[in-house]
Amino acid sequence: MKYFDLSYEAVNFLGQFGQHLNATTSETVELVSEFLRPICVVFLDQQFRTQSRPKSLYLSNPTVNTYLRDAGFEFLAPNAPTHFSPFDRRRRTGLKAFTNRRDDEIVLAWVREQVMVHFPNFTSELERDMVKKVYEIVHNGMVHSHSSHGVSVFGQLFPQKKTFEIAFYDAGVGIPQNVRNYGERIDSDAGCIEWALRSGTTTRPSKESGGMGLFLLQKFLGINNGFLQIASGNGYYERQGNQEPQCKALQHFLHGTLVSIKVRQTSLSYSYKHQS
Amino acid sequence: MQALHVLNIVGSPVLLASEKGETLKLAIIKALESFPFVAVDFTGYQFISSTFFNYAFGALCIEEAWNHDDFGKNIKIQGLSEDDAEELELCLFNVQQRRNLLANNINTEEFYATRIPV
Repeated sequence: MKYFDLSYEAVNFLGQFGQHLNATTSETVELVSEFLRPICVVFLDQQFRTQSRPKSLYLSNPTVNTYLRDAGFEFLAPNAPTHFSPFDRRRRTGLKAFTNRRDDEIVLAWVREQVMVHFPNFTSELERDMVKKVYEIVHNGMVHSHSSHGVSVFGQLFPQKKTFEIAFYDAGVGIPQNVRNYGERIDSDAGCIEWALRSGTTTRPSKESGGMGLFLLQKFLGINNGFLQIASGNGYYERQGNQEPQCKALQHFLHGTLVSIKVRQTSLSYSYKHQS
Repeated sequence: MQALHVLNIVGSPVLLASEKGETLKLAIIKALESFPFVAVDFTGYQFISSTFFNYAFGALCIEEAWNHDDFGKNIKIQGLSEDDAEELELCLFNVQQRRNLLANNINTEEFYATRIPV
């Protein structure tokens, strides 16, 4: 894919690439692209971490290779061309893989040092919201993915659009499988994602409490007029602000769970009332 | 009344991790063995997550078979911001819904499965 955006087509392509990566016996896998974004970085990071035999990634575009290298991606092929980075590194976070759900203070430090710097004049309330939301997405991934490789996270500022994108990916079980293991009656993977976003729904055992994190994330992005994208299995979900969500079936199965949020640079925070 | 200062119990003003919620839950249970109710004081906290609420109070309500009124009789919450207090209310509401299903012998897995859009 020449230019990745935050779209259904881009996620479809990632699923296709992931299948190719898992199927190939080649030690070096080529990706043809001239522009990546955070969903690509986290997806590639976990996909290459979880290979049973070491593989490396090759792109012919030195700018893209440099972008990945500077992000902290460790699986570039040795002969992948790079050059002096034209990117302003202050626009990006470092690529981080969180593997221990006890590390809440590490998540806090990462958000403070690498995310909040991109929100000028942020309020303590906005910082609180961002820390909570990032932690809860990371925690969800670590608890529900059953993956020993944790969750990869990466963010980037798009200054002209005044938005900050953060992407999260785990190459674990995936939402649809978790939900089916719990309920066994869901036909569509996109329906499983929608179910997981409701208040009070959780795949934790009956006697455990849960079902708030994703619901509150939606509310936060609704007030911020931000964007939420979730892909898992053959399910795809996206929602802009408080608009009607779009749910579709992916053409290519995506292992694990990919979450991307786009937050507008604003000091607006929110209060909410729980719905009965 | 026993007052539990969360930051002293958990050892941090960062209340995100589930394990910290569990630590608080155990401290509350132990305190209630000796006192009719406890005050849980969050003064000085910096960050708190729904995960923490679920593991501290959601799990407590399920284990102790408390409804919302029972919670209020046993626990006095102090020092939470308005937003976070509302988030705690949502946690308790979700727990109540779940307990209602269990009390009516409704299998929660099957119940939620029938609510899924085709």
